[in-house]
Amino acid sequence: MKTLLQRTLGPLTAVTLALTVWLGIWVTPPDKVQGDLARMLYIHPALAWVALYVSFGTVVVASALYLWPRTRSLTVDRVAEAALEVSIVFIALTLITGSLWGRPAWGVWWVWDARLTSTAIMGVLELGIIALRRANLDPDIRARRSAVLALVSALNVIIIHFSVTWWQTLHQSASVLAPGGKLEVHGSMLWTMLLSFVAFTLLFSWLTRERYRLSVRRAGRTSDVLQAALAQRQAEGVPR
Amino acid sequence: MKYVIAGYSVTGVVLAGYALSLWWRSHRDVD
Repeated sequence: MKTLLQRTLGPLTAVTLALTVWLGIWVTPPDKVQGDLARMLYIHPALAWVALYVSFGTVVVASALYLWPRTRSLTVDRVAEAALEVSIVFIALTLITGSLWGRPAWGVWWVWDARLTSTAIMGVLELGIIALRRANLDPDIRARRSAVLALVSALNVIIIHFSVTWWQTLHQSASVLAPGGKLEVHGSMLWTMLLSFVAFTLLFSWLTRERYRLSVRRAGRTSDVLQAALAQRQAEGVPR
Repeated sequence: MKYVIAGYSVTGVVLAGYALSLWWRSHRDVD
């Protein structure tokens, strides 16, 4: 029996996303400095939040659980696989929306800035993990190797997070919560931004759940095909 | 505003496309 959360996840995601778009484009005022361009900040930071912290955080936790013998299971490997694929989609969107903001704000589509470059490297690392998964057919070897690479790749998330303070970057430093805990965004702009974080986190949960179910169905189908092939071979071996 | 509309549109299209791809892959595997 489905729980209330399972039943409401899809509709809740759709409603919060629709509210974010409505508030972000039609309700919130234009920014004093950036004008309408600030409306991009109701999607770009939330996309990055999901890509790097929520999705890849899930990959890291699931990978660590797989490598720990007591918690090793195909379930946690499938969770890692699902969250990884969702993370790649969100990283791509983070880079695209950042570029669409950068063109009018900075005058360039792309710059080899520490934050941008390290985020792009994260996308390449995640594609590498996907490639590694496809190169290994043995489920255990595949899960172990991709889990190790995911944990190594997690170091890059730390680099991305601190890149704006470790290096002189074109990308601005923390702009919602400034160092010292002072809020830099207020009123409807703040609430819309917070709602966008909730909406995209819910969307991550929904997409990851659906991707996980796909892995389970595929595993079941592979098992059925294998059983059918074994039964056929056994039938061939029976003397007539 | 055109960059904002482009950003929201691309985000919507890519996310909807990914969700559809999950649905399609799921049904392709069943058939």
